[in-house]
Amino acid sequence: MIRSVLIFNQLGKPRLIKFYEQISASLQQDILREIHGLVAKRPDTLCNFLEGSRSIGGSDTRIVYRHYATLYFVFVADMSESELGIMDLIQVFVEALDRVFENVCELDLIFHFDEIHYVLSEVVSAGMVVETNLSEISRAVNEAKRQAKPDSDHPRLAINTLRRGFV
Amino acid sequence: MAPMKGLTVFIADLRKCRSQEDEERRVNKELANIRTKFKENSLNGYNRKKYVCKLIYMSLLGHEVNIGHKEAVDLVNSTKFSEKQIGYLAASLLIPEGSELMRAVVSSLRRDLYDTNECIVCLALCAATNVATREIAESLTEDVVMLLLAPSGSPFVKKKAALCLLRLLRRFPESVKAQQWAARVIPYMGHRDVGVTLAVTSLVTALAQQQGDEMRKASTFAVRRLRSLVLDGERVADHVYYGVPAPWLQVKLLRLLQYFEPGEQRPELLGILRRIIDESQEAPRELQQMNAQYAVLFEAINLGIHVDVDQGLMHESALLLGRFITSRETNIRFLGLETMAHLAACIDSLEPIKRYQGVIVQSLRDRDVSVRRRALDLLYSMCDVTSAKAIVAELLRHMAIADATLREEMALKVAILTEKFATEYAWYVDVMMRLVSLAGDHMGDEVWHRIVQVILGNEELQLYACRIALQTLRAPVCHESALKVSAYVLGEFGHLIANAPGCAPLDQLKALQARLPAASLPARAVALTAVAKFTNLFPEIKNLCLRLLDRFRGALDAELQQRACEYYALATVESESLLPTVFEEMPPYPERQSALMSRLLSRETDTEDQRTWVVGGRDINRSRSTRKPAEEDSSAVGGKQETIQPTATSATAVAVEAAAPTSLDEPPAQTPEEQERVAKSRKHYARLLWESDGILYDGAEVQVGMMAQYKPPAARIGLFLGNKSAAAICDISIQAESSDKSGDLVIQQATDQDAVPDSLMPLGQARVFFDVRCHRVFPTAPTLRISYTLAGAPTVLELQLPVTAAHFMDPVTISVADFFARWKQLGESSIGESQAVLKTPFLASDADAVQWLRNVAGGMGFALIQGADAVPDNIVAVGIATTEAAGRFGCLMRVEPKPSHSLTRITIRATNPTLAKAVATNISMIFDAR
Repeated sequence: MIRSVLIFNQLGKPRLIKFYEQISASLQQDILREIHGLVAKRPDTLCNFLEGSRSIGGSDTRIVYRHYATLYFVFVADMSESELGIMDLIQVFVEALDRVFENVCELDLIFHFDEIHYVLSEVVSAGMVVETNLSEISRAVNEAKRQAKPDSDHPRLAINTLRRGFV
Repeated sequence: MAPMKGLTVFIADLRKCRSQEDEERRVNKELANIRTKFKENSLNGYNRKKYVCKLIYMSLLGHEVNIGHKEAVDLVNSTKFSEKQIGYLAASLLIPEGSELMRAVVSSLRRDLYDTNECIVCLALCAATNVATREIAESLTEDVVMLLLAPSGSPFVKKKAALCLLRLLRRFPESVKAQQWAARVIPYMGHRDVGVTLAVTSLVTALAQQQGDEMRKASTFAVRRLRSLVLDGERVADHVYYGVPAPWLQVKLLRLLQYFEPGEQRPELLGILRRIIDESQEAPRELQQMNAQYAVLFEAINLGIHVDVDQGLMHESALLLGRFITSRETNIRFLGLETMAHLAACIDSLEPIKRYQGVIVQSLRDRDVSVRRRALDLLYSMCDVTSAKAIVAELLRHMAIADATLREEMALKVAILTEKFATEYAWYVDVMMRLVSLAGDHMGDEVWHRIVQVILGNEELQLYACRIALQTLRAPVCHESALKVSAYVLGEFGHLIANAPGCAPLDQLKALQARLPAASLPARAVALTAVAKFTNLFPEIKNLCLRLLDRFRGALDAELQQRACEYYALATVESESLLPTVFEEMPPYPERQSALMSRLLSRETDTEDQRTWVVGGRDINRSRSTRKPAEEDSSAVGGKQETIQPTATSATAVAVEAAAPTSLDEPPAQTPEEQERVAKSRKHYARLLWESDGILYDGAEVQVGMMAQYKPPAARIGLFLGNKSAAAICDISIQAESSDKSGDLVIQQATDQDAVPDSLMPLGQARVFFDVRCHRVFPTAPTLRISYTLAGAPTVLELQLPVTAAHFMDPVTISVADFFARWKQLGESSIGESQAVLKTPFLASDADAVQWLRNVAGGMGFALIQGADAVPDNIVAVGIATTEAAGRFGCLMRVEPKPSHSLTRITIRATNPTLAKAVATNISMIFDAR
């Protein structure tokens, strides 16, 4: 299972911290710092996998990360996940963010830190993949967005809108 | 979220902060502001949402936030979707699990799960998944199960419900009552929506690990779905990812199947795997496509290893992997090595992998540390007797240039491999000494502790170890740990080389002393102990040793000072027996699991999903699989009985009629392991014929140690039963009885001791004492019967107890003239003579064999008569055996070793023929076992 999803920039500033197990807030920050230390010094030509850090999981854990512009997207997973599968999942997650924010950049993530959580919850839940189909993900996110609009007149229509999407 | 101006401004403010202090100040100011706002009752929903958002942002940046819990609950209860959304987010991020307010969150969850708006239901499911408290598991599981199983529910809800159950199941398996609904979710693996199938398969995978065989049916669904995706080209429209149909689902299904035995689905599975492997023969051009396709491929190989590791398919996979480990893509190299390590850990013949040994060794130099690590794991997994020397040599070569983070693990693995595959003692000692010199700084104490343990436990190693130890001390550079090992070894066995040129006691002491000034405190402490042992070992340099100890009596370090004072005092006490007793040679360590292995295995932590394999050779993976609970039950049918007869094949064996193994299911075939066990136990038995304590039996499940104290004609025997297995053993009974009813030997449990415990936890030890009285000289050793039950399987161990008439012997010193008079007298009557010519090949190879013979004679209770024989190597000894009813019997012994013929003649003359025979038998067994 995926144990944690982290987004931080090159300086180690957190943009998303999500853990799928009960871990205290201060330890979460420590883990983020440690992983940033491990990842940031690696040139892009090296592989995208690292053995788990001391504070999270040790050698039975894989850190799978991708580097996009100023940001690092890090998934920490146990040995039961396919590393390449996680790689692709990061790509799906980023593409989903891209659709929701239309050309996503670090600033979007800073000012909409709550929305990243909503997008992520459509991709990963309980440490497991929920959905990998981009249109399905953005449809779910946009529907929730529409509902959240203050002038949303027809909240009850939601079910039909969603159902239409499924074959 | 509609933009909230206040929040945007706050975030922008924080971004402008130049230092951590600035940010801290800004946050504190805002926190104070929010506190006052929260106190006002007039707060509207919009503002509440805004402030809670600010709090979430602060906590993301790592600031401690412990307000806003109540406000989060208010938001959860709001009718507005946007407020509810933030409320649930805050509840999962800010409110601690044990808080009273969580209860309020749970009650609104219950309501929202039944909302008619599916978006709200999903929101609640997400929140329940994230929060996942025990209360949710206990009170909401049924509702969530219903959402998953409801025929009318949308896929949108179903997949989230499945994963919510998964989370609750993992956190509180006892609260969700999985057995009530587990079987009903399996059919949803065939749902037409790929998202639902994916989520349910994840749930089923977790259930399969907990419920075991009840989930078997899932494998049928998994195979069916795989076939349709891989072979039938099922159209999954939206889920084709760069040309690969639903790669995540394929991976998940392949993974799930690794938790089941393939059974009759094997042929079909192999067909599917073959197709996946065949299709990957040509490398995809595009990177994304390669990722997706290879993700499936690697998992397929992993499943292939599980299904049928020794099939041709796996040999083909090995070829494919061989190509991957030289790939230009670092990721593929990494995964190739990792998967190959899995293959190496399970495959019977390592040949297809060994072909790539050169490439793998090269990978130790890869520029990526992650790849280097995998290469190390693979080398460790693929090592066997034939390749051990080459691999260990390569690892040692890389140790010098390896990065610090990797070096410790490398050192540990080298130590384990060397011990496991050593076929020559010299090689073991050489490698280990080299290892501590190279990597001493990077490894824990357990490595050098282990070296000492191994040397103590293997007599054959000790002489060579001493030579190397002295060499090490004299080398220009001597590492800390190497110093400790050397000091310890010389302290114990320095006498073995004392006669060699340049190795005299004084030379040994000097070499040790020269290292002291530069050594660290712990190393000096170990060295001091060695010096103290020298006072006992080498009386000729006792004074020098004392002078050295005396110097350290004033050491600044408390530990050193204490040691020096105590050792000094010990060595100067006027007592002949104190020093030899205190510094008696250390007994071999009881064979427990090597500390190194536990260290290596402890690095594996419990992850939420069980691993299907671990890094390491086949044996460790096999033993893992046999530990599965399901198989433990099946092995419980029918008891087994092990009968160990240490004397079974010895030429002059004491005739022991062990109880016929009537309940033996299988014939007592001599499998190699059994032969080895019998040989081992014969060795243990022989050792105890001249040493007072040691191991009597060492099996896979239990170990029996023995300690004997003889006060002829009485003796007290202590037996120690240790549980080596991973489970508790119970119904323990330990009985000893004399082999005949004559009453010549009386053996019974001591009355002044606690009762033997009925059961023993893993690593636990029970002990029981027996009182023995020798009434008359008896011909046969008593029998020890230990029975216990492990995991429902009763086991009876029948051992011969090394207590013979010859044990009730005391040394007697008589003059040379007296000896010859008695020798002649007994020889004339020739009633009590026993003579044998024994093969003793060790005489030629071991310079100290004669000393060893003397030790044996001494250990058996004889006094050596000096100068009685013209040949200096011959041994002449006298002892007297005491019985309770028949009085005392003198016993004379002559041992004539002939190194040139590798033979030794022994002659025993005693006033009792049975006694003479017993002594002769014991000696021949001792020689045999050496």
